[in-house]
Amino acid sequence: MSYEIILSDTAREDLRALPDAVRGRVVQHLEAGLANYPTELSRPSRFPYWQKCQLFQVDVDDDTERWEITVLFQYAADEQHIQVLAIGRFNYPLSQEFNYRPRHDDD
Amino acid sequence: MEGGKDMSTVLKNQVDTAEKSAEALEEALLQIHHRQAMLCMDVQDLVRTTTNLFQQVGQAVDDWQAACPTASADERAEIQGFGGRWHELYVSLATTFQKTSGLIRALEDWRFSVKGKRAFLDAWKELRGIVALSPDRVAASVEQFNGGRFRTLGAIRDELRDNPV
Repeated sequence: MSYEIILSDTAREDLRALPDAVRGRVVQHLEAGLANYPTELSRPSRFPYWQKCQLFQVDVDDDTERWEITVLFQYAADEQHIQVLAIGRFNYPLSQEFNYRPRHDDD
Repeated sequence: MEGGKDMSTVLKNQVDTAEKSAEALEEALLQIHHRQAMLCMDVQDLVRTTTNLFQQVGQAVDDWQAACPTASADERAEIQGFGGRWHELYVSLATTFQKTSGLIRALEDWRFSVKGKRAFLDAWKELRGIVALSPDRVAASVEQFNGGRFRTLGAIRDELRDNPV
């Protein structure tokens, strides 16, 4: 079953704020991934809303940076729509990727 | 012959001096290695502490989320108000994680390996996802959905194609 994804005005602003190339990839992930496999590709959120929502996270690389995209969503009551509440981002230079990924198994 | 003896004494003194310099530098290097090893231990403690703190804050936030739906209307407003405080705490913790990750990197440049790094990096990635979202904006979003202010992703994609940012 495929869900239709809907975005609040705030989430739409979040999406528009992304650079063109990154935004295009995020839209692809939402349409091809989240809309079709929301259960498999998401996990319950711990924060920031008092109700538990779902988190869908993807990494998108452009030429120089990694963009970690966090999509907070809820299932609509009609069970046909996914409501995107917010799209967060954290980006850093690819040259610093070493900072965030284990270089080897250390424990 | 006498000149040779003088030369031998001068050279012996130079060799002795060089040996003493080498010993002093060896000692200095040992002290540096010792300090680096001590620093590594301290950073490992910090790695463990920050990772544990993230888990503890998460447990408290889980309790907060569990309490909200069952609270009375009066209590709920107050309980929901804690959301902003949790967010501030997460942002502060993210700053510490950022600094700690820089320390891990420095130690690895010295060829040290840091115990607990994997759990730290997993927590750090999760934390980055948390602080990337604003509680106020999420609350505004919920209100927008309740008020019918939303659009489909397809419509937004078409809008962006027709009117690029």
